[in-house]
Amino acid sequence: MNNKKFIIGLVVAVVLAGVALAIHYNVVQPDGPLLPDVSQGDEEIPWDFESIDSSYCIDCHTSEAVIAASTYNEDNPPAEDTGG
Amino acid sequence: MFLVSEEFLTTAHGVLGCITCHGGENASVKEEAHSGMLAYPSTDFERTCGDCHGNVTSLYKESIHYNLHGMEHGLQEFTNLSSLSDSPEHYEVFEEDCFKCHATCGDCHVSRPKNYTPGLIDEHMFFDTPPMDQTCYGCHNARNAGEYMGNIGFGSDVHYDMGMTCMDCHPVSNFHGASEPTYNMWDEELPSCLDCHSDKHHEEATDVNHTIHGDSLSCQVCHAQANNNCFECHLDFNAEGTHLQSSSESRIMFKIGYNPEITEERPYTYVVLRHVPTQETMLEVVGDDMLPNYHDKANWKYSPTHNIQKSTFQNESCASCHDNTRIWLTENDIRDTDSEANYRLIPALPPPLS
Repeated sequence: MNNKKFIIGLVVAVVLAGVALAIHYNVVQPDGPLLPDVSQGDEEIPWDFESIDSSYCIDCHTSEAVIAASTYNEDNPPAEDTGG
Repeated sequence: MFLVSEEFLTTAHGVLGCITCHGGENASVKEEAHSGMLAYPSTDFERTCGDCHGNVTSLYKESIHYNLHGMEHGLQEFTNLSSLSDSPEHYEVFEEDCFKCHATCGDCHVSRPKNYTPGLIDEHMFFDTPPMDQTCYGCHNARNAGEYMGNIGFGSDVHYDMGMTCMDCHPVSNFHGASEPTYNMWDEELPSCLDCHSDKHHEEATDVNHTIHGDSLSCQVCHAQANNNCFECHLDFNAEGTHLQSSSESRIMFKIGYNPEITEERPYTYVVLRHVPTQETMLEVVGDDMLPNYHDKANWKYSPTHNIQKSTFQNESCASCHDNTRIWLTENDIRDTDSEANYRLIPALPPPLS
């Protein structure tokens, strides 16, 4: 008997939650975002990004020792200052 | 040089992963990782930045920071060409020298301009509003930005002293472009001193200093300091003979002359002038008679000099301007290498007070 009451209660709760969400997205905030804003760092991130695994790039480019040993500057000198 | 901070990796751009914008491969060997990599992703900004910032990138090709129409048309007016691309020699000059100042999104929002000094502004952090001293200054250091910050000439600009940046006066359309193509910077929606100081308009002001001259003087005539002028500009190959580069002689001067082009926005009779780096033979390294219309255009130009101060040597008293012939453009200021069109800008001197 208690199990039956619990299941009925659970079904009612799920239905009510569904109705509440339907009212929110269709009536209260029909143009609102489907995903909540997520804050990371100082920037607002308004949706989930498709991220490409760049773990090897990150390993090198966050390492001061690796970057200090780079010869990029010698291989790619800046243009002369145009004095603009 | 391309050190990336841990903090950046947590930002909206950082979580995308390097390869999303830069391409390349997620590999442990440098050569493989860098294969097909784009060091400056915003050179292809419509594909990279445009995915999320399409409202900005859709206009950016109309920005003179992107297309350098100001330099292109400035050079073109010295020629008989309807387009610089009609002449391989002129196009080479534009592409190799003028176009060094071409900027895309990353040149301001992530890194310093390439022609200034290489490197990221702050370990790959993106700047919604770029820091003026590392971005605008990179290209405009010899004139307006250098004068504004007090690195060229005498003192800095009072607005800089009060903490204002380029972006506090210039609307974003001056950087990102507007919906209509512009011929040069004068076509842009430029800021005016009167935007903030409307009470100093000669029809609104209550003090004689701002009413007595009507609209015959630009604000800079009384409030600017001396500016940087470039003479005897010459284009030549660099020491290795691989690239064209220009050089010129600089002088800090203050010259008032007739307004070269009176418009509704700039109706003044007298303005501060600046000598821009031009001379008839400046492009002889790439061809003969490259500037056939040279003498039709003045090389003293209207100067919205960016080193404003409330008190200047020329506004100290009526006599410090009216009796000071050194600050007015005269025939003695016109060099042999200058355009004959400059003579039109030599003003009648103001009536002496003594």
